[in-house]
Amino acid sequence: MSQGTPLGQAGTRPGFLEVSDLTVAYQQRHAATREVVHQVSLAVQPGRRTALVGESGSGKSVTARAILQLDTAAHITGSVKLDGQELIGAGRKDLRQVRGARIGLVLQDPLASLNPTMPIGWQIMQPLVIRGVKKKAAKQRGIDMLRALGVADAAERFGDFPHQFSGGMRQRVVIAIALVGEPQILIADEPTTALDVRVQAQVLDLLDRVTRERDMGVLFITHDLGIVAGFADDVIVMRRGEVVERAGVMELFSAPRHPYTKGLLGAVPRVDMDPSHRLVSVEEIERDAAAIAAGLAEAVEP
Amino acid sequence: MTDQASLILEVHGLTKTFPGRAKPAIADVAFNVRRGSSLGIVGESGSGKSTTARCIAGLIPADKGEVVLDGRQIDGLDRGLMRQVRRHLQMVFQDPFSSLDPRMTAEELVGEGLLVHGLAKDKRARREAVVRNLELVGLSAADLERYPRAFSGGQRQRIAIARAIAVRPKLLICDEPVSSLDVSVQAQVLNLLLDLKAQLGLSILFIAHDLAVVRYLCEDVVVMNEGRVVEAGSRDDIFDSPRHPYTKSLLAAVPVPDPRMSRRRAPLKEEP
Repeated sequence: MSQGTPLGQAGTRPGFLEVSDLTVAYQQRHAATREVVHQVSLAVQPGRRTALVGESGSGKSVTARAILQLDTAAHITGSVKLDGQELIGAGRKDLRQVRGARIGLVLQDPLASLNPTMPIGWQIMQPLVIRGVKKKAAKQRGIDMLRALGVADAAERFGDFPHQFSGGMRQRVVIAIALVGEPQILIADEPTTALDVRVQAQVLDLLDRVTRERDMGVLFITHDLGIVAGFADDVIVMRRGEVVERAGVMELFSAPRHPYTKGLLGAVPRVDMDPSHRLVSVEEIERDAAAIAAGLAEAVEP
Repeated sequence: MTDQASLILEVHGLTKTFPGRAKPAIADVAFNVRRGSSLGIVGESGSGKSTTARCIAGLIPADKGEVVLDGRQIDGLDRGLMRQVRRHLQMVFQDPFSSLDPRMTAEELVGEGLLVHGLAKDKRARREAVVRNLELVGLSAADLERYPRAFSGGQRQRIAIARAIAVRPKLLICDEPVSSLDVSVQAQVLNLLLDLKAQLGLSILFIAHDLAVVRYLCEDVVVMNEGRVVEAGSRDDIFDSPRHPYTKSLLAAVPVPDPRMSRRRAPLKEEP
């Protein structure tokens, strides 16, 4: 895995994303605003992968979307700095120069990310065309990008529509759209969750290779600890809108500190593990930890 | 190898082609489920694993093949006979949000099978049986009057399981019962199924795409690809010494939650 620079020594290479105290709230119709993400801080550095891991409702996807301010209904406070430039409160024009150009985004469902009525080539070229790249050059770069993602007959398939591709190929198209503008950072939100396991492995290998070749920073959002183990350098565990633990990937898996992290790791069935080992639930771990903390271990219900 | 009395389910040559399709959804599917054991069918989307489950349960008619439940051939039965058989073939589906009628209370949902099959002599006996089954899945009498929307996803799946086991079926068919659940909830439901199997001697046919889940729960494994069984065997056979290249490629692709293991994995070959 890449070594990267230690935290705080950014600035030599562009593509340093620093999120501090990010809080996201939504206005509810007949109630007070509801906070779904509370004071999350994280950094994405060039050439390094940060995984944001959590279960549903943890706020991991909301955090990713808030960084790019994709949701206009969200009330966002805190700071998101890209190479020192503050993005929270930035104007639409400034944000447009960040989205796609400096930070690429891949979402879970390739069908929802693609326009079914336009050829995939046109969609891959858009991030370039919008920025004034000539059509012919944009087409060549799009074809090269798609080829780099393992689509051998990229030029022939450039005019095809999304429905003519398999799920794994569609996700390659989505990744091509995210990367064709050569962003320094990629945010990938459950990019392989909708894929079958063998296709998932191929797409993960591709993401691994292309982000490494381009020395990109990656923020990878997932619920899958297996993917985290294979892909991430740094891990941030979220629960109910808050960060409960952050650690290097080796440390997190060998010596998790927070009871919730321990619970998550104990709850995952493993394909390489003897099934006589009984899974534990997060609740069991937390109940034990709470009882021990209170000096009431004997009060644990049988 | 195994005598007939030890088999709860025998499937022979099951074949189904959907109207308008040239390729069969499943072809020549055959396997046995041993009494009191669980058999997992694993495969990717389009492998035919769910179609197999639905043909066995009689939810869709197979074109060819035999399904024998506890020594009795059940394929091609008429509706009346099938209704009697269905008591012994209960299903749990993937999505507990759509598989439970939102207008029914937990008591009605769990008690429906007891009522339909006349398994409780009066309302009071039925309520007692419902409470016993709710308790078996980790719920309680306090939940009787609650509607599905008042329960979490994991609790709904417990209700779906209580509903299925209330009539003490010969075979419980689970079609991806944990794949829409968070990992911590999934662990609870898997442990519940293991406990129920031990307590009630349940036989389980378990359909899943997640190989780790199948390894945890199932003693026997059938691997399907493109509508056919490519490999079948004991849990140890399949996971420790897979023979078919397809099984090997599936196993190699599963991410392992251990950075020391997964980082040694060689990249998979691209498919053409």
